[in-house]
Amino acid sequence: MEQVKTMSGPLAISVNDEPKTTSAGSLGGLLEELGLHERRCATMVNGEIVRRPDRGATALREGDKIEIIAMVGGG
Amino acid sequence: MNDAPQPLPTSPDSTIADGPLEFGPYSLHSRMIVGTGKFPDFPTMQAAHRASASQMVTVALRRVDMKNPANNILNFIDTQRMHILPNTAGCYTVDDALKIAELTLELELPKLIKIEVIGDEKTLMPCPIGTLEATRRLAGEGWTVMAYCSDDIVLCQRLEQAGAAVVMPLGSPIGSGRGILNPGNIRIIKELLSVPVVVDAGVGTASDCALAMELGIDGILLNTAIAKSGNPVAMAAACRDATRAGRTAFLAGRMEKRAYASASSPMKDF
Repeated sequence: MEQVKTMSGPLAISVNDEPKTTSAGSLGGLLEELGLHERRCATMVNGEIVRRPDRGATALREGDKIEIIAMVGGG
Repeated sequence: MNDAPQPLPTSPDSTIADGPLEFGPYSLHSRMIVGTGKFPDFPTMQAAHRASASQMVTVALRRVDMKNPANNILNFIDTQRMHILPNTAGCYTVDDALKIAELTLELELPKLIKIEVIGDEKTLMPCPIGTLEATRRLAGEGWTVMAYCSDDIVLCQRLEQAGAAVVMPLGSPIGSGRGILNPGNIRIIKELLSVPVVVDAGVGTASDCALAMELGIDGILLNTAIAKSGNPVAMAAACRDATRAGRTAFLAGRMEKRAYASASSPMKDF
């Protein structure tokens, strides 16, 4: 039986293209780890938008590419 | 004894009533929309926004800088006073623009978007075809679309037909500060369209605002002219006054131009 590796240890992921190791079990947990959980931001996992209410239930997997997007200056 | 003329106790405001700039669910008493890019720092930006008296401010969407995640522009935008207008700047395709629009909803913003699909990397000129398609798609999904485009008369008509709430032809290439290069087109675009026309991009200084508004357009969007001026707060105030002055002059109606002189003082009965 194949073992699903989710909560078994730190995962190597990337956040906005920066490599990162995290023990957070979910996308919501990762945002808390990064201190961004209270910030107005959008999240994507491997190019797919993950809506706010779904972040807590979105498990992270080895190699996931996380994008965290917010407002910046522009015209 | 002082015989010098005394100033009026209060300087009278414009005697011509002007309504707000209205589109979608928005009603703006300032006809100037300002940006948040290229300012020397956020406090200067915030002070310039206040000086501008603007009620709508553009922002872009980007990945959070993980080296400085606490740097949050929202802390310097008076959201009680100003609507946030997210743009799709940096997008080269319709799909990218649609994705940015979708992401703005995750940022707890309403369905309001400035569509900007770039067609050429060197000149940053907007892609007419991509802009039209993105406008059609989003307007069909109930978005208030403000479409940034070139000053092509037919394109502006097509954008209106595609459902743009505001059509925003550029005065000159973005960030160039070269002013309104084709006032003839801008005037015709305003005459032909029913939705508001806002000149977006190209303003270099206050007189450009006045000149643009004298053409009869509904508003101006500017960023670099303020942010990259020597004193952004003072320039914001100057552009605010020039925008009002240009609008009032348009409403007042300018005199007709004449080929020959016409004396202002009586020429007889000396």
